[in-house]
Amino acid sequence: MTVTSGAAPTTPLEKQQASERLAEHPSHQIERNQPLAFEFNGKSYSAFAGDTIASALWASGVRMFGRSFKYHRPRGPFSFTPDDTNTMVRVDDEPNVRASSRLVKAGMVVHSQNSWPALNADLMSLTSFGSRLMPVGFYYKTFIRPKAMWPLYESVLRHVAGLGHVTPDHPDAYFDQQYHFADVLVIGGGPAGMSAALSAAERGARVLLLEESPFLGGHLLYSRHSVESAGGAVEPYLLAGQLAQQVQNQPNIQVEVNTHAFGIYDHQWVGAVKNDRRLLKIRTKALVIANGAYERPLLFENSDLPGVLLGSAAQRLLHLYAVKPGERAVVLSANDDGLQVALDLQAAGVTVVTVAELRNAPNPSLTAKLQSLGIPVSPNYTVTAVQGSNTVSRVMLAPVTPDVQTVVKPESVTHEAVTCDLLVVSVGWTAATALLYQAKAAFAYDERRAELLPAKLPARVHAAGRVTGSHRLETQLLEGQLAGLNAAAAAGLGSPAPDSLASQVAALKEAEPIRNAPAVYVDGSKKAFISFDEDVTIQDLRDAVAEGYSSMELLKRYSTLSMGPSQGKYENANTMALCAEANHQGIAESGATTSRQPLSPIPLGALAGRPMEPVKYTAMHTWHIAQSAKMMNVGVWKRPEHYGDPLREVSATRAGVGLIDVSTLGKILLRGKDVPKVLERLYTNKWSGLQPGRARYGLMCNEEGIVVDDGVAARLDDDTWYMSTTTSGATSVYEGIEWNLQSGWNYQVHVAYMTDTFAAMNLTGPSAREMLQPLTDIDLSNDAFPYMGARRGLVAGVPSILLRIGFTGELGYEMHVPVGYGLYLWETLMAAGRDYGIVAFGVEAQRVMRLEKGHIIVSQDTDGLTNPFMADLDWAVKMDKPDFTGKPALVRAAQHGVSQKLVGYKMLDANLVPEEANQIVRPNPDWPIGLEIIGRITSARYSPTLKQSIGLCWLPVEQSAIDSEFTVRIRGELHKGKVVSLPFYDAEGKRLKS
Amino acid sequence: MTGSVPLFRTPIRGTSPKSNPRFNLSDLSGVPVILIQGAVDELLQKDFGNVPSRPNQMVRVGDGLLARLTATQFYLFGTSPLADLPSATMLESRFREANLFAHATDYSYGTVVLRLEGSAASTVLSKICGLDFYSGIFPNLQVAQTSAAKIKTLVARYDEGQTLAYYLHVDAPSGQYFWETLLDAGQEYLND
Repeated sequence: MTVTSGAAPTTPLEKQQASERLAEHPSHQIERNQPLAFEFNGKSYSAFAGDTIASALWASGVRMFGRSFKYHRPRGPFSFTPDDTNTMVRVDDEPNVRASSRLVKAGMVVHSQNSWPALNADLMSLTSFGSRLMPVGFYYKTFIRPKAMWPLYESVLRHVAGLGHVTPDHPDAYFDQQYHFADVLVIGGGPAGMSAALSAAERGARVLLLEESPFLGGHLLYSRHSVESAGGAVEPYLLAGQLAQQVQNQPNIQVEVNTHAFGIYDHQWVGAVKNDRRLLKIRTKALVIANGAYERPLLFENSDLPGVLLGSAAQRLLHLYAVKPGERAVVLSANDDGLQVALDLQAAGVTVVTVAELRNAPNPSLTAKLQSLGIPVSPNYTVTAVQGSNTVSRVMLAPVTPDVQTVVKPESVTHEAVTCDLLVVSVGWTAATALLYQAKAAFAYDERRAELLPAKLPARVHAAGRVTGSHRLETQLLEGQLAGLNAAAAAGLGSPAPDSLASQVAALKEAEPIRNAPAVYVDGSKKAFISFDEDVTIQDLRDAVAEGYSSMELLKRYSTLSMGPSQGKYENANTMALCAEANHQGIAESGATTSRQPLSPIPLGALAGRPMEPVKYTAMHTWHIAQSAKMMNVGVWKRPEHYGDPLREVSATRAGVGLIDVSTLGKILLRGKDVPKVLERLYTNKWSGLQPGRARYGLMCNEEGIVVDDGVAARLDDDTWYMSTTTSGATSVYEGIEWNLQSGWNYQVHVAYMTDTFAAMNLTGPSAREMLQPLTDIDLSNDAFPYMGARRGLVAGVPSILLRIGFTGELGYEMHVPVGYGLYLWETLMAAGRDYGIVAFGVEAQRVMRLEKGHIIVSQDTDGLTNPFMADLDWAVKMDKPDFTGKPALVRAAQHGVSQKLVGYKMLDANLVPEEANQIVRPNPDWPIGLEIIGRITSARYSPTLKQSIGLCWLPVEQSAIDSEFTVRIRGELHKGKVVSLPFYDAEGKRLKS
Repeated sequence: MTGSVPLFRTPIRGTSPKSNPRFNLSDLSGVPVILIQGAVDELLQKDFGNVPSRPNQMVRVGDGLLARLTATQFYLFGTSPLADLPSATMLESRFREANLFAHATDYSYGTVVLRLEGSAASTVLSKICGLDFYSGIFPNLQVAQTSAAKIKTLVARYDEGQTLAYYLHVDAPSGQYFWETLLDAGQEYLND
């Protein structure tokens, strides 16, 4: 073969000149009037707005961007697409950024990854000398013996595993999400995709078009060979612009660029991410997949060296970023695309030393054109190896046996050396079928085209363009039109495409020139990497198959082929062919692996999307905050736990008056003549006899007779009842009532959920009446408004429901008012109470006071096995009622008796407060540590009123008698407690009923 | 003190963003909001002259909108703070006069009502709510009981002339969280 002379740039000046960009052209995506500066590995580099990190670095002569995962081989861009995973870098403190897609921003600080101490002097590259010790699958065979060494292995492996480092104190990034709906979703903004979008939109479809890059146009943006259109030859980028303009002018089409679809799920639900920051959740009636193809590499020795580029990568550099890919190039071609790339390179001033053509008879007109430019084209030639330390400096060439199949067989032992700084490889394409796979398409291997292509698509799924093997523009446009019309029809808009169009497309597809060489690797290659992600060689694959991992699925998992960040996009086709060869099978028989979502890696933050954590504030929240309350979470509510000293709050309330915000309580309004019947069924106790103006404690059980909620229900008038529930039970009780009413009870009752509509506050303490009376028109005297009464009236001008109840054990009035007046009333009460020494008290003080009164908290003192008899609530269960929820279970429970009881206790050490859930134990040598667990503490507090540690606990019934002692295990030590009668405070309820 | 005039406070702590053709958010909390339960079509037709025929539809009535939530549930709300609409008490008297088993519950002071308007209103909503807000699917005078920002929300579309507008109703305690979430979702349109 013949080569042209020339040398690669070596001096700084030559390199600087090399870094200058090509002459301006409208297809370029860079903005030359916006220069930027950024850093890479501590050195400054220049760029233009629109440059990716990779294009800017390449323009400056940088070829090595990082080191490979396993052997730390030098690596650089290969495809200049987002799937160039050997170009992952750290940007500021964000790891694993793909340099080939991330745009440069001014001041960006970029670092390479996976090398130590420096990229050019990576000590870890010494691992390549130990490759014999790291054969395929060594992960599963080493580091498991001796077992005792595992902690050491693990600590070492943790340091070397993974790519990139996460900075723990990185400030939160902003992520977002959006729902989208479409009649037709088109994935891929190239010519086929745009054609599909336009034809669907013209049928009236609502079209959403997703494009991964910043611009519509696809390969038209960087292909330079002219295309024929109605007006004559047109530059592809101009045609792309025309199509894009038509798309933008079509009001039915919504375009999202910088958006990649990562997954197709059932029923046409599609996930996509925009700008790596916004998660799009898309539901569409029909899909058109037009996401193109990946250019396929040929495998030979050191084909992974920086400076080896795919043909389309060279074109992207030339036509998008105005960057010369090199000074002196060799082109390895097996299709017309390769010859076109050689012409492009020559036109840009690159010295094309020679074109090695795998084909026996390359395109004669393109060949003649190249030769007229002084570029020799050698049929039946191949590259056998690339040489260079960190980048290409020489390429070895050799003639090959004609009629190349999977293996390219050099005919001679000695190979010719050609000096160059760039090797461009263009030998074929692999349809990007992963999304179609996820959409449950069926595939067939086309032997003639040496490509796995979709054979049968599910209903509502359509495909067009390179993803179906169509590379000619005319075919792409018509196939796109066909797909768009059929997709619109599938979405219920118009009829399917006419048969004539389908026939035309079929004929064009049949006439497509063959673009894929069946060749996969050059015979005799050592260190030929199939996977650049995981450093898996051809020999590794053969070894794995020989070990028995012969199916594609097993081979994948054992060798990690296609398991790297690019998910096999540039290796799957070659893996299939090599697996078939190793198994002595056809490729179709060998099959492919399963493509799973996500198609490309997505930031976890994007998956999390917009942080939406509901929170509820009471009307008095701002007041609590202003008083420096310590707030706590009660479900989604924020409540004040205390205002500094909960024990002082208890004492002050019991001595004078206190006010607590109880807005979180469930509140349900029931109206209708049948309300008593509903309450009779819901609660264990009786309601029909309750008179207007009275309230009653209610206990609720489920069908198993287990206590699930409690509260107070008041009869406001003949047909109006007002129920309260626990905070946590509010929604479930309300839904339970509605469910029962709608599914069989058929009572004339209307239910209104008022939990969030009313603020509630409890004014309690011996001075409560005196303090409150001037503010209300309701007669608060004990005769007029006795304990467990309910009234409606005005308090400080606010329409209120007042319930005279006493969770704290003191005289108290619980006021329920419309939320919008809650803060006003609260402030008014606090002002009015100043002369009475009023204190605001929080949840903690309330818990102390209710405990002093022996009141239970459902789900704290009770659990999923507690029936009312166990909790001494027999008095609330009226077994003479005809029926209520849980009655049959309680009848049985009453017959069987109880084995455990909830009792009150005091600790013998008055100042020792157990922790809630501490175990109550007794000696038993058959139990671990000789202690049998017989009960537990459910509530425990220090009572400032009684100057004593008190609480509630579960004990076996035989040990629950008053004055029985028991043993509590507190932080490993044993302490004594004693059962006492309840309540601890004001046993006769005089203060409550005063 | 018993005769004092109580001060209503909206749960929203924050001011509306500067007026913007793409994204405007305003707090209308305190407008009349009444839930009507019962088979009261005829009475409402007589009183308002118009009643939505199907669930999830609304009609304009005076200063407000009457939405039909189910066969026997209606939702009446004002579109401005001074909306002159019958009170819950007045409606209940009408129901009793007509001997109807029906009730009107006043949710005015327990509901946060936000108006989201502008050309980007549906885009902003689509960031927090999984409904399809395309005009062909969610036209003017459509209403939906749904979930937005993970809380129960009533979404009512009522365009102000040519301006796309949604009335969003959530419970008052969730109002501040909802307001902040909407402002955040719309912030990219605030500098237009």
